[in-house]
Amino acid sequence: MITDEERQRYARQILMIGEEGQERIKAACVLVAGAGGLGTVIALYLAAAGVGHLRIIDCDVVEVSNLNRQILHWGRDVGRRKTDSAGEKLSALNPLIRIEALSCRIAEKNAGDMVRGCDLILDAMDNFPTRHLLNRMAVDQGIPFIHGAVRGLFGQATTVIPGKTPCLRCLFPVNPPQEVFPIIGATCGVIGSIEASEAIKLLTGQGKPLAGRLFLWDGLAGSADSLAIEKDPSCPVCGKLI
Amino acid sequence: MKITFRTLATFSEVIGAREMELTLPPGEKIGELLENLCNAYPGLRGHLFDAAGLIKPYIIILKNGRSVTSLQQLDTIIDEGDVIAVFPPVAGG
Repeated sequence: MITDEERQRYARQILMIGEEGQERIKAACVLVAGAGGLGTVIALYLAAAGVGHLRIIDCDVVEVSNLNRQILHWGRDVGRRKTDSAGEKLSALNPLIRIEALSCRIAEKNAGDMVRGCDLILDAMDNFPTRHLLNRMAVDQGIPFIHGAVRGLFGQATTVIPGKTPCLRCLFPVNPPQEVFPIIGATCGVIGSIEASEAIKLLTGQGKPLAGRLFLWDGLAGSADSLAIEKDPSCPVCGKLI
Repeated sequence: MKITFRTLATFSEVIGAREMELTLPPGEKIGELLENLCNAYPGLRGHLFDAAGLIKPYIIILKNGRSVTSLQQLDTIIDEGDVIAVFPPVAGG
């Protein structure tokens, strides 16, 4: 049940999703993997929307060069752990929810525990090896995985529903080389918002998720569209579910 | 045969379009299409191929939404009406 305080706070979205939808959001545990450009946008919107339990994981500290895009980290936060910086602002934004901020690196040995019990996993990573690890954990545990990635003025997103849609490995079988990627904050805003929207849609059962579609954002042209995507029947991660 | 070619980001900047309808000879393979595109748009070659002339393995190439890595890679035969998408990795967060 939602309280009178929550009814007031979330009044404008309850117009869309009803009190039942708000209760689903409140009951949810969502993992935001990364508190950088994408993760800060995602976490801000999901906290504001009232996701009852937000688990945020990042192993880094705030650097000056993060401040052009990582909107939960401010000048005074340089040198602090990103999870401390993000957790503090998210709690101030919405004290009615539980923020679980874990400052650690996502690795093979701990990833299973980190995703366990979550209703959704949101990809806000900056590298494909960790994305693939989370994708595998999501498929193994049957947890929807919302992928997003950005570079420059371009971005992409898709929602992996284990057993139903292609997984990340089907689409991106080879990891690209690591790079210091160019980026403006607004691109993180676009793709992070798409990922947060996908999360709300999945939690409330509203709308049509980006399942089996790759959303493509071309900020240079100011244009967005999506591409139908297909499973790889021999995929080493999800092929066994076909 | 007619196909739809889609691309994004730096590739579309080089080509000057994100989507094109192309007319190809029947039986053309993905590798032949990429080679012909590189001849038509020379700036594309360095994005797609390494110094040894091999395709960069992380370039995303989809035939009707399926990665050609799980088909016959560059030997994948293109069919009438296919949507071939080729784009660079977008990996930041």
